[in-house]
Amino acid sequence: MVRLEELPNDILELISQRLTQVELIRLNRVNRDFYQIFTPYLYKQIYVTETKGKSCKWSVVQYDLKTGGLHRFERSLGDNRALGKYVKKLVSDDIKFILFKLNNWQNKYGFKLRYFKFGRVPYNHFHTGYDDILKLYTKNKWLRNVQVSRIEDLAKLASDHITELELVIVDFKHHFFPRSQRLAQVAERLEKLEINSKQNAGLIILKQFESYGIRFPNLKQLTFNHCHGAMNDMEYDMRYEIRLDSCKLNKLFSENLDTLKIACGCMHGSKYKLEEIHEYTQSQCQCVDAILEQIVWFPIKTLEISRLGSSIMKNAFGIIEWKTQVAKYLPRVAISKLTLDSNCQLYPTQLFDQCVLGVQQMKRCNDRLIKTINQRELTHLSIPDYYESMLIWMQPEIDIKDDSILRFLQTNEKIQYYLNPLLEKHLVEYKNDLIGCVLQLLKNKHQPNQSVPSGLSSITQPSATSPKPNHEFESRQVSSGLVPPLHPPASLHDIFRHDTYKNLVNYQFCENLMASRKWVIEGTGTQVKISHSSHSSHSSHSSTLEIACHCDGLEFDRVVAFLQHMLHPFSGNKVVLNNLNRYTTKKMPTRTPDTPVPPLILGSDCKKIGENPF
Amino acid sequence: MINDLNPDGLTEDFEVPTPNVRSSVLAKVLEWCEHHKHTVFPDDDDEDAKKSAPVDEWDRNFLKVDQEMLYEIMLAANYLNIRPLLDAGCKTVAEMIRNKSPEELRRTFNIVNDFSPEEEAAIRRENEWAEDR
Repeated sequence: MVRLEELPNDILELISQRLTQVELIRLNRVNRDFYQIFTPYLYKQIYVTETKGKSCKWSVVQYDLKTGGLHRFERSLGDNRALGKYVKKLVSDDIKFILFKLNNWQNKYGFKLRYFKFGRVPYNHFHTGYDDILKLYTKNKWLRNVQVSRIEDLAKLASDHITELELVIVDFKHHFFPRSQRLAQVAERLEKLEINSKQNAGLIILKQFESYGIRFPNLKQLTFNHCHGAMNDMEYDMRYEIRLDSCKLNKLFSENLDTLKIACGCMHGSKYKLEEIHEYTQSQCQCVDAILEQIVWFPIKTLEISRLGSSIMKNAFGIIEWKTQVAKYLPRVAISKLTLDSNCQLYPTQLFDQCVLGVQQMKRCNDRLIKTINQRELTHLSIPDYYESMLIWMQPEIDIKDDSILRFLQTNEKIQYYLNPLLEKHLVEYKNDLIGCVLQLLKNKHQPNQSVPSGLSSITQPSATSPKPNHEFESRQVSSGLVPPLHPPASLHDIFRHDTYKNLVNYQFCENLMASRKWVIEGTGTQVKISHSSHSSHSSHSSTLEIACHCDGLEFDRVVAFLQHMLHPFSGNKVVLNNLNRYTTKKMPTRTPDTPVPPLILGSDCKKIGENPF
Repeated sequence: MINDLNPDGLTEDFEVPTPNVRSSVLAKVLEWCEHHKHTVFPDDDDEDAKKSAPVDEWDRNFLKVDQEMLYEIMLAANYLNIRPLLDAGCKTVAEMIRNKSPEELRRTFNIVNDFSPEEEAAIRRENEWAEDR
């Protein structure tokens, strides 16, 4: 008889990749066999961060002196010397850890890192601790990836196994680098090259490689952004403008290069200051055109084009222009996989109030784009942009039986729930549907696995009997089971991961629910805990709803913080969630930094209890 | 795997050796393949999408079998290189593990605790950094 512990290592690894660190530590406490099997997976990928969060990919060590997470981790490494050898990948977004701990740990605990990354690199601060990161690279002979901001530093690295290089270019002077034999050796082995810069460093550096005769015969994936010759945040100087010269650049690569990821469309226009761009007349700079006209000469299979300019993304006309330019060149690119991300978020005001003209233009633009895409023989199509996606589906003339559209549905499962025209729903209905799901889940808390009907009508109906008994409901499925009748099933993660729906949910919570009962919202890693309690003359009851989500914990924490803020009666602070700014009207009382943040308690008006739908 | 066995794309019938797969398991695998013959699965390299997506409802019911059969289906899927089936099996096992205490896991997988109290205490201490979540 086959038992779990007898499965081959590759299958056990696949299983472990779907487990969180808490689940792994429960497994390694089962018995000795399980300890031997699952402990290496617990230590294999370590993420040291100040942020609380859970992830299935990484075991998170919290760099927090109060909780002592890092201290305990270090103690475990010291007590059991075998553990350090299990650590193969390490990411840290905490410079203090890199400065004061990591190099010491390397020697002390015998890490054999294959992968180290300074997570969430802030461009302007990469120089802080940069030398320490470099020191780490120079000691690790097994590393497969490096991040450097000076190309000449590659010559100092010890590893002969580097296959991934990320260039984080901070200063303009670092665009230029001397030729070296070592650089040519590294280039020869590289499989992934990523050039990140606020400027157009990507093209400048690639051109230098070309002039030095350095080649990348094994490169499979090239990523760079192109920012229209801007030399700092705001200023634009045409002297620095360069164009993608595919004839020359093609000499750098071989037929192994099959993936190109480009971010372009900085919207610097021909003006010197971003603020001077008029959104109706100068909506999009022409660097997109300059880049895309040469892409057609790259013999690639996968193309990802994303749009820069997230801070000014409210400009709907810029998005239209960007997509128009992209649509112009798509027919000429011989690719099988395409991702288009216009870096756009759905702003209700943008959609309904201010930009009616823009919406109409967007519809026509989407029509052209989707028809262009339909003509391609794509095996994979992804448009991770809900604004466009929704508008595409709102066009009645699009034939959903078209194979490409079906592929779109299949490759964008999470969009499907919200935007599938078969559901014949409008945005308002989706909004109410989402709220209805959450409320129904609360309502049916004593029946955790019950299917939840969707729709506004389900939430406006008062419950037949009142009050409900005290009960604690927990749902910790991978899918929260919110909308089981739909195919594919949607989970709470699908709802909360996108700003639009977070906002919609929040609006409803704020406007309709705050006054009627007490709500406590707490977030712990991948779970949102929504508690409510109410009191009436007949009885009082409270319940707790925990909704688990199989998503990245950091994302979930942000959602929770956002929910908390939106529902807080004393707000007035600015909340930034994925570049989405929110302001509320009241002023939050000053709190000293040492005071712990209490759970948020909202609305205590018990008189309105009769109006609530439970 | 079939492509590997038949690199020239011959149209005639040919044998696929499955020496380590019981007939009842192979029947289940074929049932799964028949059901999903028109399904377009995400790319193999799209790991994030695969891991985050919940188990398909039909697959979930299909894999409601005893543990031995489940593991054998996973082994057969691994051997025959049917990644979506293997993926569904791994997710099913992960769901069996999810939110269970060590004692519940022992009951689920029919395992005897062979740790001494001292060893248990040492492991608990060793894991403390990860329990802080």
